[in-house]
Amino acid sequence: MIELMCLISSDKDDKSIKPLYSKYNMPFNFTIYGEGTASSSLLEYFGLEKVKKYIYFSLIDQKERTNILQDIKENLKLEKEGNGICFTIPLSSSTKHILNKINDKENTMDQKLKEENQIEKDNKKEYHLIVTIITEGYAETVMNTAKNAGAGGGTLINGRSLYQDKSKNMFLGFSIEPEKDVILIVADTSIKNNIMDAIVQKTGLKTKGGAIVFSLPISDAVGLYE
Amino acid sequence: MIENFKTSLKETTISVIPICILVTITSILLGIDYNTIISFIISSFLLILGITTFTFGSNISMMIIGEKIGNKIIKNKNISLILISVLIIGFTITIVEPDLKILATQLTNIPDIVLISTVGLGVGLFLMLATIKILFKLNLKTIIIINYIIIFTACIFLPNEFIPIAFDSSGVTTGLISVPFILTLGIGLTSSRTDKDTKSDTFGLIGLCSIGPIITVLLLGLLYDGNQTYDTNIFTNNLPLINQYINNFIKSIQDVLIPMIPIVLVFIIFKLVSKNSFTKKETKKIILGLIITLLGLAIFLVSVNVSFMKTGYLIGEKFTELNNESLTILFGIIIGFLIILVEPAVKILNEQIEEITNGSISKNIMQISLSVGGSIAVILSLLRLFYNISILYILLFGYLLVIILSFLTPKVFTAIAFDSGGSATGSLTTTFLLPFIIGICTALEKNIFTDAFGLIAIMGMTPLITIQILGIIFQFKTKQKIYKNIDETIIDYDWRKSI
Repeated sequence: MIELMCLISSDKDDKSIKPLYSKYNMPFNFTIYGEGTASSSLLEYFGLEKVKKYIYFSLIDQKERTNILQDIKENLKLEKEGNGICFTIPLSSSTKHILNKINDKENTMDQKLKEENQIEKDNKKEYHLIVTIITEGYAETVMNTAKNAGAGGGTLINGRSLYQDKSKNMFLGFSIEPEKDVILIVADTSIKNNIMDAIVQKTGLKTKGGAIVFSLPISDAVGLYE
Repeated sequence: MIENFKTSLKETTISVIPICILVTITSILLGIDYNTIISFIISSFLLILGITTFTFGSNISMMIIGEKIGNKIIKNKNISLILISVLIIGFTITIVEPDLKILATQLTNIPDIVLISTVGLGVGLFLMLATIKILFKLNLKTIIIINYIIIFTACIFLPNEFIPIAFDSSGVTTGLISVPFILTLGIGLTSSRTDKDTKSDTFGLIGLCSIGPIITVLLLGLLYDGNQTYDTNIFTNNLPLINQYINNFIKSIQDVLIPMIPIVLVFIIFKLVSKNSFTKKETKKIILGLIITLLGLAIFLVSVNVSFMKTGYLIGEKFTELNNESLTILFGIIIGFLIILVEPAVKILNEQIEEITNGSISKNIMQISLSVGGSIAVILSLLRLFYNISILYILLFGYLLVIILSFLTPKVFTAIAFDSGGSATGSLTTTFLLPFIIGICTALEKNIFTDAFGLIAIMGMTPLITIQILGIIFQFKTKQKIYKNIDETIIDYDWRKSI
């Protein structure tokens, strides 16, 4: 099983999180910038309450989850208020490549369970959040492919990859990491796999786009129109 | 935000300390009087305070105004209205730039007002061109190449003395007031786009804006002759220290109050014209920010005016007495590297680049590449002084290299490179490096205008080379690997089990 780990922290240099990437075999990582708010009324009066936050996303092996979270808690001193939070979300599906890279033992849904779920799902629609991480500049291609496969729309976020292997991206002692686009698409189960397949075919790791695709379960959604 | 202030204070301190130590030791070894050395140390502390306060203030005021204006005017469908407002904004923020005023008073032959408005017009027109480029998605490279062809053709027909002045006025235009403003204007203009070129379009505005004045000032050369006189007495003022600081502080407050007026006006007009553009909270923040910016800028100018100019000049003079060219060049390499580390406009640019690229192009790697550019610029300027090389050859060869590199490097790096060229030639270059070169120049009894002044022009060019080379390395290192034998079938997980 694979999970998505989100770490929100104001820790700028990824020094405290990067060593974990190789320790726990986490090959898929990226980060985006965000803004948090500090809790001081004086600062808020002058509009100075904003704090720069960094959001780190990593795909992890579920078996290692407790260890990774414990290490992060210690490294970033998360027990202290305001230092950040870290949580995990299970994946509902991904490409097989991701599973192979992180964890060789499969623990996928078997056919019987899938069919049982299908009956259940017929009564109530189930939604998934498809996350595509792709080389900067390919976002439009992904959106068009997804739309052709039945997706309604999507949201674009800019981020940057974080490499697990330190040696290949160093120059004069500074790390060089490529920019990535992250595309979020909400889709129901019936079309989810079609969309993911189409994205992988058109812009996957066998192409220059180098897309990594996985989906997260959504328990409920409003605002979706077909 | 307060956290940002703390980190910025720490970073500035780390970047100022090496230069402070190097200059102090060199001054003692060269036998410069203790008064000058003490004032240099005091000024270094003021410099740290000034830069930190200024960048913090401009972050929460000018940069927000710039971005909002850019964002709003691009949504206006009336193109002529967009272009006229951009022209006015470009003109106003340039004519108030403190560095430009210093340069204008140094040039005795051209009336101040003529030079300042010529440069202002140049920036205004080219900011307009930059906006047209964003609106119609024109290619930055093509525009720049055409402009440099115009510039170098003009150089051939004009008096030699005028060339360094034209390039120098371009260098000083993009200073502490205009860099944050123009930079964020570009971010605002492109913020609502999502296509492939958004990033490379975000940058490049400062680069284009620094070309404008070269052309307009070169045209001035048709009206005035280039024989200028330079007053080196400004370096040898011997008032008591306290008086110097007080006098300068009052003068600096005046100097920075004037630039603030048009910015405040632009802010007020914009707030009146476009409703809901700034919330009450934002307005409060911007007003507070403008006051902080003003204070920071004043402290910064005091520190550089009181002692940096004088120390730079004296070091240059004393080095010539040693009659050791390689030692002078060695000092030049180190000081050129260190001074770019401190330049506030560069700091602001690098922060923005880091933010826009999500840290992919980190500010540290930008800083190092720019500093290497600074070292090369000082080496070239010194070699030019010692061996009488014409500035035109260096610029012609340099810009040719720049253009060749622009075909090899990713688009966004070309845009960033041109912006860095404009930002690197900031206040510290004009107040420390230039006097240093002038000091050597006077000791060698050469022409200050043709032999020393070209430093700013070269300083504006070398980052274009180093940053574009960085781009080539970057492209090579981050190339997406294409895999062949991998299984990309989609598999479902039984996720309910794990919750």
